[in-house]
Amino acid sequence: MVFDMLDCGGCKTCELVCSFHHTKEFSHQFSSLKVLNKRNYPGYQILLVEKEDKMNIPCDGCKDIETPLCLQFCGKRDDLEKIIYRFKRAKLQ
Amino acid sequence: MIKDIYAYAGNILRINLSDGKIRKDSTLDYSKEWLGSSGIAIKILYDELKPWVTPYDPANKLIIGAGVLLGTPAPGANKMNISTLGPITGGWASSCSDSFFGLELKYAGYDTIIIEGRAHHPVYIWIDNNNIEIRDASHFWGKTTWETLEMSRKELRNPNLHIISIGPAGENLVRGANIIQDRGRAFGRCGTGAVMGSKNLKMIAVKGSGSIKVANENKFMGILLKIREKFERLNKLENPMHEYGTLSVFYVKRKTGTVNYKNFQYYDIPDALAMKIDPIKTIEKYKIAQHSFPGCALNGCGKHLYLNEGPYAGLTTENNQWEVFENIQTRLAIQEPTFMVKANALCNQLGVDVDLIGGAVGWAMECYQRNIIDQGDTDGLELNWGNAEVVLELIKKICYRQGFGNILSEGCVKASSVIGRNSEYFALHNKGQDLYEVCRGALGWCLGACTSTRGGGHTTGAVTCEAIPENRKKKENWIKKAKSVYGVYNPHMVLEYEGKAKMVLYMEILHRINNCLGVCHFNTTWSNPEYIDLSELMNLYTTATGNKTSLEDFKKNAIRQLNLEKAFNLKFTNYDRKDDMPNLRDMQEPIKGSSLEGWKIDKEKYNKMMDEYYEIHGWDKQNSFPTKKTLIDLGLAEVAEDLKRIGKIGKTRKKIKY
Ligand code: SF4
Ligand code: SF4
Repeated sequence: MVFDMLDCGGCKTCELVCSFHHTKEFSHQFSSLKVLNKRNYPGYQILLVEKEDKMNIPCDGCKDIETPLCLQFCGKRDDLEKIIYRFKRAKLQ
Repeated sequence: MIKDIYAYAGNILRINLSDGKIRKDSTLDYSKEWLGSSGIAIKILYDELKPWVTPYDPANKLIIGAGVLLGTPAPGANKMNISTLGPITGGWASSCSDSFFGLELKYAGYDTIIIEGRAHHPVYIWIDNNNIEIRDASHFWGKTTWETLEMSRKELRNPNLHIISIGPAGENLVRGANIIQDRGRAFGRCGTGAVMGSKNLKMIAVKGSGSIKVANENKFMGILLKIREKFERLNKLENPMHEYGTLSVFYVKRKTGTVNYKNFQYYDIPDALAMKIDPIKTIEKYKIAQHSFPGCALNGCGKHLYLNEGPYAGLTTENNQWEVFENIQTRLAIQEPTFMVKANALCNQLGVDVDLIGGAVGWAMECYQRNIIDQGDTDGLELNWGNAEVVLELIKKICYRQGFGNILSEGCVKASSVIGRNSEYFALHNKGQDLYEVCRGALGWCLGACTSTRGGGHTTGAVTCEAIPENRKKKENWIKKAKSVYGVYNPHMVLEYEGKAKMVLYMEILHRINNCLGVCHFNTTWSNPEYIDLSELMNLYTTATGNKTSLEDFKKNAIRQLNLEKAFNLKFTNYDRKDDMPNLRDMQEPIKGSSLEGWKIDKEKYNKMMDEYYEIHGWDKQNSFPTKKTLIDLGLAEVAEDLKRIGKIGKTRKKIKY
């Protein structure tokens, strides 16, 4: 799913820590979050990988830790929090 | 990627544009002694450039380096550095910028790119991981940096592609041409864009799909989280950088009486003008989205703006920072509040350093005011203070080297030597580079800017924090912490000569470490003594790279670099102590028109401060040259030999004559 972010600065820090959560290395490739430019308008969108595919690792909600790693590192976490907790709720159901 | 390399990507890419040859070297050949990025760059430049090389010579090299921590989420780890033999000072040229390009570069497997030679026709470089191509760029030539970004994103079919490019200014060898990352965020100072232009290189695009690993991941992440917690607490108290970027200094700069008005004739702007052009209000009014870079512990200092009214209505761009406001808006007395946004966007599109514009146009306007030049010199333009349209016209004329713009494109010093008529006094510069820094009334700032090896600028030693307590919420805490971090009893006393040499040395070390690691200065003790300090940086470095070091050795790396920059300048230029001094105007005129009315530099005390500065560096206070002992202690015995050969090795002296 792609989400429009209101207050996100597009810094990609969440992307880097998410890949670390999955692989212990920092990259874009192995992140479940992809920070994208909005088309034709300044600002950012976030793509959350929800299902496994050949190229991407899906979000597991950082199930082993209390606060998901991406949220621990995002300084503007309101939007991201909504996305991740919505996903976690949906997954639990 | 090779698995036993930590934090570094591992490779230095050498691309020779003359013969198209591409080679890879190991970063590890350099990294132990020279850390990364700007440190590796000065080592390569010093070793590989023969003394006869000139800036636009194909034999000059352009070195583009990503910081050691870039690619990790370390706080503020987003800086790249570009270094070369520069066309403004004729010596060491170096400039840093926030960068997504650097992130991609590291993930593609490279820490540094060395551009050598000169292409026969305009080219661009496309680095897609292992696949590196030098491609024809005829269709990009003449385009602005914004057009180049748009065209390259289409051509390489990637709407999120990151590039660095030059604009028309770089193509036309404007001495202050810069290199732009995407649409803004310039490698601004020192004319690196002109060197890129001289190589017929329009643009570099990079995509990286690899990864970066750190040596001790648990410890590294632990430090990161601890630093995050600290910033969370501090940011709650206040985080002006996040709200307005460096424009947040507006009120404090007015209070401390150090705002450049009419080319440094006055040190504050009139209240009515301040009300009208208040940059904080401008940001509030036009901001539409945030903008930040990897790891920033301040949550970013950028805003995307949309001007929906006024003379520049329709413009969408990132906000400018303070430098543009002070150097183009107030220095030139412009009354339109959105002018700073427009001028910044235009400079970025055409690829020119805003400080060259402020310096050259400020000089020209003062000469016009004093009837030193008239419309006969200026292609009929009326260079009156506050004439916004004329300034925009001059920016274009400079970048396309047309008419009077062709003279200004050389920077204020060279322009004043073309015009003559005693106009040199009004050309404010350091080592030939247009000076943005306000030198009277802030001694640590002035000392750091003027002794800078790259010619002015405030990110190679200048002290900023001395003026900051004015607008800090917990002022007393701030001062207490500052005393212990900078090791002086009076860090907040801007007008005291004592202790400033020591503070500058601290900043020289910090700035170099930051640049090598790729950490933004604003996340560190440069801007706030509570932020990331040298030990935290060292811990990040050791846990990330696995290299062991002590704080002393870590600092020594930075001092070694500073000495090599100095030696590089001695090899290519005739700079000595006089070139480390403020301009004549700053040495003799009292401050006018600000809360510091009448304050003047005390020549004797200033010179004593300079003596102390050289002494603590182990440099000869008569001529500024490093002594043999200093160089040998730093492991630079060969450099000492080189300097001896050209008669530029320093002596230890007790007393000197000024
Ligand atoms: S969601 Fe947060 S961490 Fe991620 S890019 Fe946006 S601001 Fe940065
Ligand atoms: S919650 Fe999901 S997106 Fe966030 S770090 Fe964990 S796995 Fe990645």
